[in-house]
Amino acid sequence: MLNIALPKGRLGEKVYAMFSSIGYGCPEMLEDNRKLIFTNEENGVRYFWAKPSDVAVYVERGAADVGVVGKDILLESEPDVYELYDLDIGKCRMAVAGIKGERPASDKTLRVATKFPNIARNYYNSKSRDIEIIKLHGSIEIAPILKMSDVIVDIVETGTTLRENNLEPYETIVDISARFIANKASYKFKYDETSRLLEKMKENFDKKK
Amino acid sequence: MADFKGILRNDEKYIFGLRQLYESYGYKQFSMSKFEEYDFYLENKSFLKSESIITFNDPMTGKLLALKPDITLSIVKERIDSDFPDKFYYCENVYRASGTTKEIKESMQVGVEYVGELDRYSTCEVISLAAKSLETITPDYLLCVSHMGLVTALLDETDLSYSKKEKLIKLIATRSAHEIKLLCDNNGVDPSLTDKIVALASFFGDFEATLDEVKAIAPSDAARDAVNELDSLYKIMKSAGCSDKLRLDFSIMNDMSYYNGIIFQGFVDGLPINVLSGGRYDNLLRKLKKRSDAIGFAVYLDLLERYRESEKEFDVDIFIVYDDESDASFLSGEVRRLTKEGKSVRAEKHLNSDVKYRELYFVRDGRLVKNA
Repeated sequence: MLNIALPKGRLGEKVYAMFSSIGYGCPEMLEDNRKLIFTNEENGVRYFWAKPSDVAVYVERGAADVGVVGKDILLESEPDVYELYDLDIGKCRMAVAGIKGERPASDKTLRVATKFPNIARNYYNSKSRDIEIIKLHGSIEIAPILKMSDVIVDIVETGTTLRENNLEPYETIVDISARFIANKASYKFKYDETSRLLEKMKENFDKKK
Repeated sequence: MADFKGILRNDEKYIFGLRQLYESYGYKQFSMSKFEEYDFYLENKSFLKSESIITFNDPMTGKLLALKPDITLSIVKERIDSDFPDKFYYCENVYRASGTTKEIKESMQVGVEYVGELDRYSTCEVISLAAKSLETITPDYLLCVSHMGLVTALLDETDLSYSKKEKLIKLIATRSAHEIKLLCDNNGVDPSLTDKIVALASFFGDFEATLDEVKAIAPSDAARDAVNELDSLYKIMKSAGCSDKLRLDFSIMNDMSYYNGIIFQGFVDGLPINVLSGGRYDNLLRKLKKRSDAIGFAVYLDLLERYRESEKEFDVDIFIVYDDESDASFLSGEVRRLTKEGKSVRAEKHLNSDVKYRELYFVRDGRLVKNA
């Protein structure tokens, strides 16, 4: 039995549809009820929904054997898990953005507003840039508009929110997509089950890339 | 000796089992001081798995001391090179940050260190002790083995910088074929070499079969030496009857600058992280200007506190409730009598809801009355 943690929301539903299409379906999932955990003995799977940023925690601590999580979360929380496959969905990029047409002065400490302090710190450390991180939990775009920060480090999908607020992406830090992860111990003890799922994913999803 | 089975916690039981095992192979216990000078850790910071160290000033000398985050360093630093190896085992508390919140925790480690000239036998002795250590915990274990020499030999075929190689090692440790390809493609690594690195990262399974696959991608002399060492390890472990628990797994990683040969991690079914970690670390001794080789491992007992333990049904056999009128000497006599019968007894003035009891008694009219 493989315990699978999926991120609540659109991405998770898409992942479930993909898993279901390669023989890991669990009809209970689609019923409208208040259950939290869904089991399908036949296909040997048990699914549950978790807050996207918590999926990695469930997998790292072995409550789930495998899970699907955005690369942004993996880079931010650096959980000790295997990252086995790039599902190539939920694609976006982690970018530095700021006021359109402007560029922050290079002779001052750069003020960076972000939900991803770890990613921002690692990125600017690699460039030896002196920064001050302002940790926010949402609506990051307001920070540079109100001059609270020089730039933001955030996920950019289509760039619409940026454009509508007279902001633009300055540089891309890293490309993001959904990743299939596994607990390091479960992977070993449930090697056959996990690698069967992984092989099926490669077979069916690789060519679509 | 009295039977302490009912009282000992899981982790405590394992300590006795492991000590017995190491003593039976002639290893001597090494008892350590609680503190070390901080400078010592500072010099070898990257050997430590966690960077946070608790420090304080010695009020007598003004020296900066540290609560020990690691045992191995302390054992090897005073090693005097000679023909005779040091064979030590230890059971010590260490203080290191762990988990996602990076809180510093006290945790119990039991481990083995062999410092001296290493040959095939002694290497295999330590590794089979690691396997036997896991076996004392549960028969459902896996000992995953990697070889730093093989990994570095393959990485040396690329002309990547040291920091890029370190990144690549991290990616092998997460088995991320897609990320390895990305890094190699971006840095002009030959595609056939990239495929080999990807293959190395994905190996897992039966030791013998995997080793054959490894041979196919290990052309250099250094890599061949590593394969031969793994091969002879497998043969010895096979004769010891624990080869089916052995896995080749190159996602097991340790710091390149300290570890050089075989490295390994132990897992038990039901625990999400490795409960045992070890390897060959000659490079550390070279850094400390010593000729000796060294290999060792540690078992993280704090992880085993809850391992496969069923909830205790009762805290005590008998709970006695008495009041101000009760005769103290009568009560103490009764408690003594019951404990002599082998029962655990707890006497209190009020019924304590935190304590789970098998039977409940009250002291009434100078007698013990069982609660119906």
